[in-house]
Amino acid sequence: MIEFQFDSLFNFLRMAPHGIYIWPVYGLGLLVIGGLAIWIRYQHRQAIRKIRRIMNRESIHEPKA
Amino acid sequence: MGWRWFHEWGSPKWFYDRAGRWQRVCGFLALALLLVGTLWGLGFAPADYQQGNSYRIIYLHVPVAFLAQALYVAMAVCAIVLFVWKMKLADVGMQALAVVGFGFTVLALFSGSIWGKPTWGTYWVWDARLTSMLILGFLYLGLIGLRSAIQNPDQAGKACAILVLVGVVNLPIIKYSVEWWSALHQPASFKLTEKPAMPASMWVPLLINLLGYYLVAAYLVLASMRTVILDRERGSAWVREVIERD
Repeated sequence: MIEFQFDSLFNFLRMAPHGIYIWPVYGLGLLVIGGLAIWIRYQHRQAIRKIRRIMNRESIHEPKA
Repeated sequence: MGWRWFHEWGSPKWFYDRAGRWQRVCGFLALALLLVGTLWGLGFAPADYQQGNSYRIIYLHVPVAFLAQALYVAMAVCAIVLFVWKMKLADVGMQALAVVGFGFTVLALFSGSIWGKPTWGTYWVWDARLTSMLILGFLYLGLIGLRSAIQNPDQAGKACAILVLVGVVNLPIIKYSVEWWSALHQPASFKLTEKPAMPASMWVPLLINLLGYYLVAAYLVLASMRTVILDRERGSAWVREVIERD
């Protein structure tokens, strides 16, 4: 049977005496993985914008029938 | 009949369509697993009798360190596929894996370094495991730099594939460094072939997080591959259809 190992939320956040090591690690994890996800999404949008620009330029220069 | 799937996998259009769906599934599953595994590991797993609460860093450090190496192995497989079958998608995979692999290596190095302070009394030692992981980080960085330095994508792919295959020699060094040399880093705390030494209340959340981080990596690699495909195939009709459809 698993049970919560801390007697209060404060003690959970304090994780005495190692909270100052544990929370920055998880914060960094969130930052790196979240940052990668956001950066990849941004790159994807940039790629779509680039292709749209090329398509618009081509449609302007297309000879009209 | 047997090789049809292989040719389908080689088609950027086929892959782009499917990767979008796989990516979403991986994302949702990863989020659910990581939420359960991390909460369990941080709040419900018992404290270690020697390390106290500091060992809870294991629930991030071990999965990301596993992945830093696994993504390099995946890159080596892509390099071989590129050389043997000249499959374009293998090169796309290498490009995506390098960025994600670098992120996970940085995370493994920093989380290990922070864990080292309460455990060893120092953030860094030039220990064989730590140094070979640092070399892995430089290999990833070198691959990203090499690709951006070469204009021709085909030449860039071949050069990166050579560097990836040369760098494979570092993987057994990382794995066996703690056995070959007297290292400060502890031996593997989790092996897929052996029953873990720790109780189930400690290793089950680790296993859940391991699966969760693998799915996160799959999500990131698939998303990055789709972006690279769009950029490389921008002249083809199917990409223009996709853009017009969106």
